[in-house]
Amino acid sequence: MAEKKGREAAGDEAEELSFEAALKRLEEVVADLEGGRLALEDSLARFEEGMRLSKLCQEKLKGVELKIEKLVAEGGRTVPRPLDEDD
Amino acid sequence: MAPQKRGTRLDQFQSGAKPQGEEGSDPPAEGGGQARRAPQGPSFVTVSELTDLIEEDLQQDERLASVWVKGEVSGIREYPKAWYFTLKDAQAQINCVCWNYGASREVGPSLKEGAEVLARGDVTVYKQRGQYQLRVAEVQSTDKRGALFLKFEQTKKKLEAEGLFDESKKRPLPRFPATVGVVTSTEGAVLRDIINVISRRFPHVRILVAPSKVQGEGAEHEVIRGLKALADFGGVDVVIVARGGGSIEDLWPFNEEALARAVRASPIPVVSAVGHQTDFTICDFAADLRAPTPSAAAEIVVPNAEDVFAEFQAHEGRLRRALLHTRDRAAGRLERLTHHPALRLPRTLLEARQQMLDEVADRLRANSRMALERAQGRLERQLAALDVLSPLKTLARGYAIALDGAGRVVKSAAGVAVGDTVDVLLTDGELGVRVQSKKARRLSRPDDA
Repeated sequence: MAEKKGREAAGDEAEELSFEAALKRLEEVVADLEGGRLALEDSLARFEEGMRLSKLCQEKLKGVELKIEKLVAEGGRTVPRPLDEDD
Repeated sequence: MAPQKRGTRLDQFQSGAKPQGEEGSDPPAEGGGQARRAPQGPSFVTVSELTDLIEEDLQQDERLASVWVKGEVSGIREYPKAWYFTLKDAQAQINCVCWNYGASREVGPSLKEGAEVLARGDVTVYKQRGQYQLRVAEVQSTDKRGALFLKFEQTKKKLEAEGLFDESKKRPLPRFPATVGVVTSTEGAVLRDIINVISRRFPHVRILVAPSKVQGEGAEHEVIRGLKALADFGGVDVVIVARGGGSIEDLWPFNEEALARAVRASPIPVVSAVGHQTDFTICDFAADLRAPTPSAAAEIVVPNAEDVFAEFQAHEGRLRRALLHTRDRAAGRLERLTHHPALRLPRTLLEARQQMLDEVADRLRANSRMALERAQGRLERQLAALDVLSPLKTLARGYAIALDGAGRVVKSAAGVAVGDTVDVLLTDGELGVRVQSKKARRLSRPDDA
C-alpha cells in the first residue's frame, strides 16, 4: 500500500525504484549537486529530483506499518499467519 | 663399527622382550644391536644400543601406536615447547609429553589437574632417562560435559579448516530490511524482546517468525527447517537465529555441524544471537554476524527510524544548500562578467562616440546656419552691388556704352580711330555714330566697389 502511494506521488521515473535504490540515487544526486560541476539548469533539475526522491523514500517508510506474523504449515504449504497474543 | 652379529645373548634378549621376534630378519637384529664379546666373558650391548633396541621394539608394536589411554591427569608442567604430565590410575602411571606444535598444539592448554581423560598417543622412549612415555596427540574428557566441549572444539576446528567461517564469506546486512525473519521459539522472552526492540526502533518492517524448538534433541533440525522455510517463502531480507542463555547442553543444537552448514548455506544473511554475551556457538561462527544477545540482534538488523528520517532531512538540507551555492556562484560569475572591462568598454566607447556625434551634429547645424546666413548676406550685398553696377542703371543715369564694329566695349579712346563706326547704347536705344575726332582726357570712375 505504501509502495503504491509512493509511486503515485513520484510519477513514472521513480516507479521502478525500490526504497534502497531510491536512497542510493538520492545519495548520488546529493553528491552530484555538491560537486558543483553542474550547469545551473542541471543543478535545478537535480535538486528537484533529489527532493522528490527524499519524499518518496520517506513516504515509502511511513507507509509500512509493523506487521508481525509467523509461518505455519497449512495443507502442505507454508503460509504467514498473525502472531497470536498468547504466543 | 661393522655389525657383528653374535647370536646367543642377543637372541635371548630379543625373544624375552619381544615374543613375536623369533625370526632373525627382525630390524632390531639387522640394524640396531651389535653384540660384542669381551676379551674374557659374555657378549654384550651398550646401554645406548639396548635402548635403541627397546625403542625400535616399541615403535614396531602396533598396539602401542595411536593408542587411547584412560587415566587421571596429574603433575602438569608447562614448558615453551611442550607440556609434561602424568597419567595414572590406581595401579600405574605413565609419563606424558605433549608437544606445543602440530595437531597437539591445543591439547596442553586444555589439560586440567585431576581430570579423568582419554589420551591418544604413541609410546616412545626418552633415552637420556631410560624412560618410556606417551607422546600425546589428543585428549578427550571422559565426562559428558567435557565430551561436549571436546566435540565443540572438534567441530569448530573442522569447519574452520573447511573455510566455513571465513571472513570473506560474511555478507553485509541490508541497511533497510523490509522483512525480518526470526527463527526461534514462540515461547519465552527472546521473541518478545526482539519484537519490542524492533517496534520501538523501526516500526516499518514485517516480522516473519519461523517457530522452532531451540533446545533438546533434534532442535537443530527445526532451526534448519525454519531457515529453509524463510528462504523458500521469499522476500525476507535478513534472518535472526535466536535463543536465550543456557548451559552448554541447552545450547548444544546450535553447535551441531548440520545447523552451521545450513546457516552458511542460507541465501539470506543470518545474524546469530544464541545465549548470553559470553556464550559462543558454532552457529555464531557460521553466521554472517554474531550478536551478543537477541535484543542486540534486533538493534543490529533495523536502523533507528528517527535517525533515518533525520538523515533524509539532512539530505534535503544539503540539496538546498548545494543549489543555493550553485545559484550564488552563477550569479557571482554573471556579476563579475558584467563588470569585466571587455564588456564595459564597448558600451563606454559607444557612449563616447554617440556624444561626439551629437556634438558634431550640433556644430554642423550651427555652422550650416552661419554659413547660410553669411552666404545670404554676401548674396544680398552682391546683389546690391550688382544693382548699382548694372549697366542699365548707368545708362538710365545718362551714360552710354560704346561698342566697336566687333561688338566689343570701347573702354579707351585709343580703341577707335577717327572715322570708325561705333554703336552707342543708350537706355532706350542705340545710335550708329561715326568718330569725327579724339582727345585724351582722364575721368574718375563713378563707383569703385
